Amino acid sequence: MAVGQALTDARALIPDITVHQANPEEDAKALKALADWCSRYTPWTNTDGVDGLWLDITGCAHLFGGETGLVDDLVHRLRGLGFTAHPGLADTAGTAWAIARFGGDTIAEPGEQDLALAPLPVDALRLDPDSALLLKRLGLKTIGPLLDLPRSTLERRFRSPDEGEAVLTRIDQAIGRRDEPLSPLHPVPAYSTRMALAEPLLTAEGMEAVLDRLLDSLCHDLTEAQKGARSLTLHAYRVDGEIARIAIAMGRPARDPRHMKRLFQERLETIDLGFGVETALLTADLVEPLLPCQIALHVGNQSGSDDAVDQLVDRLANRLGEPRIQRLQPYESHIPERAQRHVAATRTGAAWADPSRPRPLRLLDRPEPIEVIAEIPESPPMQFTWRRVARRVLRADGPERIEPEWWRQIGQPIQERVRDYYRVEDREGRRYWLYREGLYQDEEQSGAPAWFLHGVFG
Amino acid sequence: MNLCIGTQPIHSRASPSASSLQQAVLSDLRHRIAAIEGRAPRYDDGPNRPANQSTPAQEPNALNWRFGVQAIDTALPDGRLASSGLHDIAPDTYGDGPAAMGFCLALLHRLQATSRGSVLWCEHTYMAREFGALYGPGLAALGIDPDRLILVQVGRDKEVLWAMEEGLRAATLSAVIGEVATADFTASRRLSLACADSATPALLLRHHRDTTTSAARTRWRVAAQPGVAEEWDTRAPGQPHWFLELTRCRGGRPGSWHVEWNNATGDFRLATPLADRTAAPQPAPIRSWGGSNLRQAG
Repeated sequence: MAVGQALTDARALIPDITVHQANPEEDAKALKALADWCSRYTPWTNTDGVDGLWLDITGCAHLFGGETGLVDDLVHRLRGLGFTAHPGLADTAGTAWAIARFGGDTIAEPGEQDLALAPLPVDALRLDPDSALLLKRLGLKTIGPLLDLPRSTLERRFRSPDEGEAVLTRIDQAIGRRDEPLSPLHPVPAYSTRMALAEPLLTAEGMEAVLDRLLDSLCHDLTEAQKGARSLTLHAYRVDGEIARIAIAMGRPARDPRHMKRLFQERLETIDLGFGVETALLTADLVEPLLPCQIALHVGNQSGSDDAVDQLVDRLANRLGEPRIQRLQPYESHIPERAQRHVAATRTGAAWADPSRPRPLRLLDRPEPIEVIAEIPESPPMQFTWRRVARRVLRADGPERIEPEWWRQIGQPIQERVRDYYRVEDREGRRYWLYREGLYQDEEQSGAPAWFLHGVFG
Repeated sequence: MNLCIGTQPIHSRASPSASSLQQAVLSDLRHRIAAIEGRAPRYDDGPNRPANQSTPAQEPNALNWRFGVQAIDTALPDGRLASSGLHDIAPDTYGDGPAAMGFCLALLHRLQATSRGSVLWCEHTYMAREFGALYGPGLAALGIDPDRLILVQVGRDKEVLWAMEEGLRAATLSAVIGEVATADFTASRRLSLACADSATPALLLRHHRDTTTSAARTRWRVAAQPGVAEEWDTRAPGQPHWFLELTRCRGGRPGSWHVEWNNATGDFRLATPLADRTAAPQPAPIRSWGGSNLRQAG
């Protein structure tokens, strides 16, 4: 039996063969998950075509007892997951690809790509079918003779210079004369630590202990490099091939293991350990410079408490979501609803000026229309109806005229109108901030004025 | 807890030595009860008052958080609001929501006269829907620096309470304020314990219909009151007037007061009926206050 064989032929050979419909999308998904799973060996992994995976194991092999150890471990574990794997390991991706698909020694000696490739068919060079066919017609069945040919003669055999160039590129990539960039599935974290466990871990307490060790080691690395992490991910590689992940984020770069642990701890109980975790990996996904700073000698109520406030903000943000933790910041605008902005809680230091005019404690997102009885053209309301309740105005202050920001309206069809704000107190002592939009003088041009309630005072 | 005390009267005709022994026992009991209640012992005339017994009310870092109005301060234990306790504030009716918040900010203003630090404000989205979102310029006008405010906007009481507790446990804030629709006794107990642990005050703004029991040190009901005219412009509204009702106060005396809050100076003042009589006739308050002799005030 072979790949690409017709079903009838296969049935002729094995009458009671089991047939399944091909599902390329699910296959691709499964392959991607497998590439993800391979990140236990190296962060630099991705899928290759429809049936392959590649791993850049530069600097990782020693963790698994050398290259042979790593390959054995990988093949063994894949078999455990129900996959048959043909490994290939070489200095270049091209040679490794060729070995994995066309056989030969699993591991090519460093720098001896040509020897490893020589006995393999020309298809192993990842050529397009036309070029491969042409080479075979020329009698170049294996790569060995192809490598011996002078480049210029080889190039001339092809119909177009582009085609010849493509073949030469593939040869150069396989030999290592030309660089071949590979993109990993996930961005490679700048800092990471891993821990392989002798026995699968089944409890959250055990995970906590592992997390402690990982955090200590990662924070040590960060301190050495004078860096701080903004986001961390804990990957738990489960026995069944799944990966459970929990991620935390911090408002400011940090490298305090205790703080990070507290952020993780909340989620640690929710992590699904399945049948056990065999490897844990902690990655710092977003890293920023963080210079060492002196610890405050005097710990008062405000000095030296910035860190504590930041840590509190992080804890709140990790549980409730970052957009919900905010600070107010002033904005240069006369329009009341534009005079403040919500910014991230870590951004402090905004200088608020005491407004010279009365401003309400709470401002409605959208001014609510009210019905008003007031003298024309310009006087505070005597009575107004807000939310279907009529309120008699006892005292009123105003108007404070706020003109629209004309520079924002150039070319816009709907023109804002001038607002006259009044601060009023009703018979029950409640205070409101009302405004009339538009002027009675301009009624013909811009329509009748309208009244709105915009905020309340304490 | 069952506390058994002998039924023998204090001024018994026992021998002098027995009497002094009795005094000592009583004094000891008073201290123990005070310690349980978290306040300074009162009526302490015991001759051998235990010197080493620490009373929570006399903690060294207790802040001087007072109203500045003698009538109110004397009703509170130790003449001040507990700076490591939970305080409940509820509006009297739905429409008094902003007044309750104003009172809450007034208390914060008084607190910040003594301690400066960040304030965690856990905003419930229902308040934003009803009366709008917190407005920085308005807070600045009140003398509270909005930059020191960390806002948490959540839509459920559970989240508000969690965030408040987390803020208290951080022990680095100068105050924690939360708005809830309802909080049960357990929740308020948790908060007040967290307050005590971290010596941070917390203010809980409740819904006006929320009548659940609370473990708070004090419980206030606030109603807006018609104020007096501004000094220089009789048509303009003057300083805000509130009717404060201290409905529950551990170790203090409940009471009710009609106060005026001065934004500019950050002072409370009792609104005395005589001082408030202006030339213009004042409308009578619409709502009645049962049992209060201050209803004509303002």
